[in-house]
Formats: sequence, C-alpha cells, structure tokens
Amino acid sequence: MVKITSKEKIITSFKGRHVISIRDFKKEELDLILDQAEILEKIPRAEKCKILDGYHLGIIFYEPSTRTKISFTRAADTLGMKWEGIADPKTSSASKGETLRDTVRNLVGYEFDALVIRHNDDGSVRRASEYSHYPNKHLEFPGEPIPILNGGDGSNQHPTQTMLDLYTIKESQGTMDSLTYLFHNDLKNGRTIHSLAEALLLYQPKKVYFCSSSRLKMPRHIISKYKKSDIEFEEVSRYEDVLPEVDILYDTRPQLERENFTDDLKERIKSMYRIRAHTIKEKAKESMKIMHPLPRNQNLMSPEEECDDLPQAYYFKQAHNGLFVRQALLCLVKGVSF
Amino acid sequence: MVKTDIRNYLRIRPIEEGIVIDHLRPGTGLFILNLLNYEGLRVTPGLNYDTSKEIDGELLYDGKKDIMFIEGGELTSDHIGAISIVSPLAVINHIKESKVINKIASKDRIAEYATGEEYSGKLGVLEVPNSLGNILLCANPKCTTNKEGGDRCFEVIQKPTESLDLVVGCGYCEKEFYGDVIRFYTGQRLSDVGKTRYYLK
Repeated sequence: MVKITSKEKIITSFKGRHVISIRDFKKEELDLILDQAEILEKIPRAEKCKILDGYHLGIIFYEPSTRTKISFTRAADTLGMKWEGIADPKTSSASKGETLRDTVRNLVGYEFDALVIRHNDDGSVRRASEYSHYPNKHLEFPGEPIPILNGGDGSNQHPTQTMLDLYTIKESQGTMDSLTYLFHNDLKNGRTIHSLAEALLLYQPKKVYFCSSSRLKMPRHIISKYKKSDIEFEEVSRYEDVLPEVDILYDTRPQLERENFTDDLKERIKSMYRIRAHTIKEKAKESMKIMHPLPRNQNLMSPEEECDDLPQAYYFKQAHNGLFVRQALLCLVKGVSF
Repeated sequence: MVKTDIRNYLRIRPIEEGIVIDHLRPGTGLFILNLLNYEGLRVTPGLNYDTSKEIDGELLYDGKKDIMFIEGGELTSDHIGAISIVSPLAVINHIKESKVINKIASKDRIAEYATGEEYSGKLGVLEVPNSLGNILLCANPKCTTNKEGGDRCFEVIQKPTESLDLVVGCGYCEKEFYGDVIRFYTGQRLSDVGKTRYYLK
C-alpha cells in the first residue's frame, strides 16, 4: 500500500481551493506555499514557461493596484498561462450597477481556470467565491468550482501580501520563529499589518512590538489574540528605544486620509513616526531587515530614500517576492507542485 | 344577577399550539417580539408581570417579568440565539395540543425541570450559540453584506458573562463587534435593552 504523506495530503487539498483570507490557512499550508515559492524562484524562466500552458486566468480589479495586478499577470505569463479580464470597473458592467457576484457568475461560464479579484467592499471576495460554480443549480453541474484568489477586499484581507511577507522574512532571516518583530506607524488602518500580525500567531516569535501613535494603535481584537497566546508582546511609542533588539521592522504608510485629524496632528504623526537612516545606522543590527508593503507616502520619500542604500532595506526585494508566491499559488490551486 | 369579575376576561387563556416565552427580563419582551416573524399570528405580549422566581435567594428581576404568547409560531435557532443573548434566563415553551412538549431554558433551570415531577417533556439548554445568521446586521458599513446584500453569518468569538461582553465576528468582512455595537436585523441595538446581567456561570 502506498503511504500518503501529510505533505501530499496538503498538496491535494490545495487543488481547486479558494485563497480568501490568511485565517483560512494552517501553518503547514503556509509553509508549503513558501517552499513552493522558493523552488519556483530557483527554476530558470525558460524552464517554467510551460508549467501552466493552456490555462486561463481571469482578472477582476475594481480598485487601483500596481504590484498585486502586475505580479499576478506576470506570474501567469511566466508560467505560460493566458490572462484577461477587467482592469477598470468603468469599462465593465459594474458601472451599470452590476453586483460582483453577478460578474463572477458570468465569468465562471467563460472557462477560466482561476480568478483573481480585488474589490473595495470588505468581505466581497468571500461572497464572490460562493458563486464560483455553474450559475444555475437546476442545470447540470459541469465540474468543480473554479478557485478564486483574493487580491484585496477593501480594508479586510490581502492574503497573498501576507504570504509574500512571510516568504520575505523566511528568505532574509531563515525562519519566522525566535525573531523580534517591530510593527511600526499606522497599525490601525493597514490590512497587511493586521494579517501579518495574525499570521505570526501561528509561529513562535521571540517578541513582537507594536509602535504607533496612540491614535493609530493596533485594533483591540488583534491585541486580545496576542494576550490569549504565549507570545510576548508590548505596545511602545518610540521605535528607537527597542530597535537594537529587532530582527524585522515592518513599517507602514500612515493612512491619514482615513482619519479626521487636524492638519497639525497629521504633520506631527508624519514627522514622529518616520524611519530615519541615521537611527538605523546607529542602533539597528546589521542583519535586521526593513519591510514595507508599499506604496510609501510621497512626503516620506526623502527620509525613506535615505534608507534605500542601507543593508537593512529590503522592501523592494519584498515586492519582487510577490511574483514567486503568486506563481506558487497559481500552481497549487491547479494541482501542480514540485 | 350574576356578578362577573372583569379580571377573568383579562387573563390570558392557555394556547393550544405555539410558543410561550416566559421569564423574559422586563423591558425585553417587545424587543424580542420585534425580532420574530409573527405576521398573521395571534400574539399576546405580557409586560411587567409579577413573578416569585428566585435566583440565589433574590427575587429575579425584582419580582417582574415579561411573557410572550405566540399562537401557531415557530422559532428558528437564530431567534433562540437572540433570546439567549438578550434574556438568558428566559424559558421557551413549545406547546402542542395544549401541552408543553419542549422546554428550552438555562442550564440551572433545566436541572430543576429534569429532577421535578411536574414536567416530563423534552428539555433543551438555552445558551448563546457558536454562530448566528441573518438575525444580526454587520455594523461595518463597508461590509459586502451591507453594500450588496445577501445572507449574513457571524461567529460568536466570546460568549457574554457577568464580566465580559458578547463579541461577534462577521463571517465576510471579518470585523469583530463588542457588546453595545451589535445590531439586529431590525436595526435594534443590543444597548437598546440596557445592560444584561448574566447570572450564568
């Protein structure tokens, strides 16, 4: 009798699976995605261009995107997969008031093999995934539902960003465990920071610091999850004080456009919560890495550009890693693994 | 001439088929009634009735209760879940052919009914469920359930106790809502019925 390993079981479970929320994934499943991404990163382009030959990826992007859309379409291209879809809601029936679920009901009939969706409503991609099968239950069911990958649903989830963040941490530090993390700046509004903070609960960090203005603190529900866990964590107001201990500094853009602050307060937050190159040089470990989901604010360009040449700056490599993680996901949901 | 006591007319006659929700916390009867789909059913709400029920040697709700008589109605699991949140010491009686065939009550009361001789029908525990459906509305205006409609589902993340608020998480937008912010589909908020005292251990 052939023994099926737990890795094979996980690989089998990925075929046809939706990728909606980081909460839907167990540690072993995330580890598998990272392993597959690492393998794909090492395979030369010329060798992987036939892996998903003959498959078609549908793209539905109702919100602006640079990195997510292009890295998904490039992931498809580099694997030999064709792609097409809606890149702008103004050119689709969404402009006539069509709901996302109706759009998905239509597209599943056009023989796509997977759909990537970005939408501005929280939870909209999970709802859309409920309609990823043949649109009429009275007609013959033609096969399995097609997998839907969440490219960001409002302020809720952006699971592929979290996966590429984990990949970047593993790539740069060799592990997610036993590291000291510092989440910095706007911890209230950033969906990437919430998802990564939740994903780290699956690992064993040495310590996690949350550093923000008192107005932009990590939400209560995430703090309460850390309280229930064994992970040591602390909320601090100055990143400089804890910097010497830190292995991963995860910075974010202050999304002040979402807040009803005075101009004076906005300026103070921008100025106080700014990563400065001289502070990194003085206090940070050489092995520490600065990560950022990008984009960074225009008005923060100068000081951050100062950081670009530091050995700790890792945010552009982090963005590039999105390609390999998305390649791995497209392969896994189509039942291809290495 | 026969004298008629007018109080006899005002008493509520036992119902043959339907539901009686007894021992509701005063002030919650009409709130609960609003959540039930009672269109076309004969409903008799009773507010601030006297009760001698005691908990830990104290009169329950200072000796007052609300009681609802619904003829021919049925409760969904969502309705029962809402009652368990708003009035956890209520007793739900399902009545068929003028007999109580099923009682749903808190664990302590179930123990009383199970050992007593007066009642021999089915017993069920009234407790806050692990999930709720369309009875709640998501409090996040950007949630797809508020923007594009469709069914809703909520995970109960923390069941309420004397010291902890109820916490529910939307199954779609994944936002979590605490105590007072929680809204029912009628637009009523949990805070509209005041602070519920949870005697349940």
